[in-house]
Amino acid sequence: MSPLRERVVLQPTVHEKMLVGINQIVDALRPTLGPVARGVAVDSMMDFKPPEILDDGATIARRIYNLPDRDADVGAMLLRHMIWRIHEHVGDGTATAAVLFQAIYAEGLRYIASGGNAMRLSHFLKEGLREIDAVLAERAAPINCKEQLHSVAEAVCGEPQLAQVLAEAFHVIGEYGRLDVRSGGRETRHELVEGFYWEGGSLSLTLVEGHQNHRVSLDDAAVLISDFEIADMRALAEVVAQVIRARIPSMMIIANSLSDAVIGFLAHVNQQPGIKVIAVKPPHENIHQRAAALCDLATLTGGQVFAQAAGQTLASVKLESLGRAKRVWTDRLLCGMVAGKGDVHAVQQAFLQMRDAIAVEQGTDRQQQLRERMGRFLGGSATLWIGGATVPEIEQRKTLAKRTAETLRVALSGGILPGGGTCFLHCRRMLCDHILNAHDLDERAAYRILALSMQAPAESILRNAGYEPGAILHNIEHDLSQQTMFDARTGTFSMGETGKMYDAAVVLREAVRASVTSAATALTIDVIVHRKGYHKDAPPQNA
Amino acid sequence: MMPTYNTLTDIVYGIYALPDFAENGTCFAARTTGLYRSDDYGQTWRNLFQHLEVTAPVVTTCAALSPSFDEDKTLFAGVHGGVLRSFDGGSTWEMIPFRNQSTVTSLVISPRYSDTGALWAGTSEDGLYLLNEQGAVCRRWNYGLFDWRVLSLTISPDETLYAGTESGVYVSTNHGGAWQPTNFPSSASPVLSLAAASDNRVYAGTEAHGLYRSKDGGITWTVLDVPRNEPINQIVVSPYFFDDMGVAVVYPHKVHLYRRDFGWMCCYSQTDPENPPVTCAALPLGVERDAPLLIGTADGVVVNIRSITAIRVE
Repeated sequence: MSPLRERVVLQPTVHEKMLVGINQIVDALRPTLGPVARGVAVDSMMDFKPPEILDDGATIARRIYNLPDRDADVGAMLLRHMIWRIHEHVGDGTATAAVLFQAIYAEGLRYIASGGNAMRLSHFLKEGLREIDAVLAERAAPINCKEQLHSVAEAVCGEPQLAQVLAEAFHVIGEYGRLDVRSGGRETRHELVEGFYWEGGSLSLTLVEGHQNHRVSLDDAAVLISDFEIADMRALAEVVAQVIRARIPSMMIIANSLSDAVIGFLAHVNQQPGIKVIAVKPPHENIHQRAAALCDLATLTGGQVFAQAAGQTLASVKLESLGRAKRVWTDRLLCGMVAGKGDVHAVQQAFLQMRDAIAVEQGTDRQQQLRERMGRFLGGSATLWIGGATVPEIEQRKTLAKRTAETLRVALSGGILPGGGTCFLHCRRMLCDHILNAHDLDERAAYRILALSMQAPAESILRNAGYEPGAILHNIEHDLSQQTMFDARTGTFSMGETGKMYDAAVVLREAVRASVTSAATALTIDVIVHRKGYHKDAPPQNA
Repeated sequence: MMPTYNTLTDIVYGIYALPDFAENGTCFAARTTGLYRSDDYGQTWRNLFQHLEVTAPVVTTCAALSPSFDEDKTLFAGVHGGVLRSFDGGSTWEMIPFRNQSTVTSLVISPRYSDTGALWAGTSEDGLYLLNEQGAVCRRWNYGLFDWRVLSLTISPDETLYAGTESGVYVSTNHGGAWQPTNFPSSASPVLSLAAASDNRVYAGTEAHGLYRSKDGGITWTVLDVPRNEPINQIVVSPYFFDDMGVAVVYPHKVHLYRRDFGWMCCYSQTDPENPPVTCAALPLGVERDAPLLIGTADGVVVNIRSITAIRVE
């Protein structure tokens, strides 16, 4: 590797080269925008592997991590960082944000080159962003039918069948419901599953063998909720005896492990009349998530959690501390329950607390965990079976389905806006009014730049579909009712609700927010300082 | 005019009159010994289950008639363990069994049944069952319904469903696909009766906390100024609610009517508290002076008050 020296880069090189880097990233993402999008082939790092064909802006940007020109690389990495932040926050809208960023930055550079003040321009761009965000927030409407869900899904995944199946699933499970995406056969379909389930399955095949598909389903069960490693057969026998004396016909034991002797004991119990017992693993491998899951099970079933760490043992288990459920089941891989008999108010209270918590939670991982917990309380879930001709195709469609599902959740929580870049076009009238009313030159320039850039997403979508944007954008913008939209797939205009396309409001607002603030900040960069280091001949394995 | 009586021998859980009751006098009554039909304004009744090969009376807790009964002759009856379905006005029946032998507490049918073929059954411990394709497809589905003890069910003209449970009122805007709790005060539960009208109005009758009304589809609830210390067995909304805003509230020993232009009035009252309680009512022709009011009691009596004599409630 060759060493690199520290270097200070000044104007006009800074602006020129940063724009070069930004343009390279945006030009790589632009073809993925819209319903008639193209793919981007990314060369594999291994010689023997074929290139990846990608259509997700964030993943494409992530694959570009080292432009040869160090000066251009600064602009590229700035944009790349913005794109990945958007992806982590809302999961979509990265290509839209990229074209907006490019338009704002390019127009901003032109103004600065003509003598404008970069700092003042940046300030007024951020003020204009507040106005745009207010317009978008006002126009955002909640989803009220399956067709709107289908429209949002299709805008993300581009596949009508997958969009239809996802829309049907989310029409039922809503924003907080659990959706499992699994590999299917040829056909893509969804299935609604009553109750909730988790991975783990039976603690012993002995307890489920002999049943069809190794699946055992028991009604009206007592539930022992614990993380015990049960080796003492006598202690467990006392608990089982309590259940039998209470004439409860079945029992589910949730425990970390069972010894061979205990398994043999339970197998013997199952052969006797009066009670049937299944033993399953608790949800989750992670300790913290497991603890939360066990607490949820206790709330849902009206039972109590028995934890080894708290010094509890089987001897402390009483009949009244066992949970109850209408039905419990297990097979080799999964186990679940339907209709826990916990206190309704406690269940509702727990659900509402989690719903309030998810609204303030920033991290997507934590939101995902809360959502999973809420899904348990809702009493059902959806499973999406992804079909395809080959395994790689199925895996690719699964990734697409998961991404689309996240966008649908965001749309359900934050509402929808007219898609296809139309909502940004509707902001131009407000921005043009500000241009007329502005007295300050920099302010007027900022609003002009924003007004111009609001056309960028729609222009890209139309050009990708092979249309000249001019007349189409004119028709859309000059409809005072703001109902006209253009469907790039069919090449037709639509008015009113029929054929209307939607995007998730949160995604669009985040895209415009990130692009304007990032571009405004980038315009104020006057000097680049390159640090001492080494020329990176071989890019790192994990970007 | 004196009311006429036809004495039956069991509890009347519900009375269901056809829209053209004034012309043909056809109505149905769900009762302990089965589903009964009258074609003469309640004068005489015949048990539609008498030809079923059963060893015990078929306790029928509720029924639902197709909105286009004149054409399709379809009706459903809620019984223990499932729903009975007839496509010929009650001559022959087919059982749609539910799992767990649940007791059906309420049945509602879609206002667009001829297109959707959908109806919903609430049960005492098993939540809700969704029946599609005119009952051919049946599944239990309680997504978002925290309380599976459904005591009452109603559907609005725009197909919004409301379920009254032991702990409150739930609403579903996607045909039972998902439920959400409303802001009904849980301290006023259980909700024994529900009725939905046009314009997002919903009425909820409780066991001991009176009558509640929502004007916004369940978001906010107001307790109405009516007696609060008695259970409200049933609430019936006039088929002409848009004009008369007529509502009948069935208490154990009286029936109160409300009409837009003269407020609450008592149209039926049992002076002797030893009389069997009133359990249900039907307003086949709305709340009008000459309109009939059908009242069912706990000892199988169906009273056809041919002309409502109103006593204003102070």
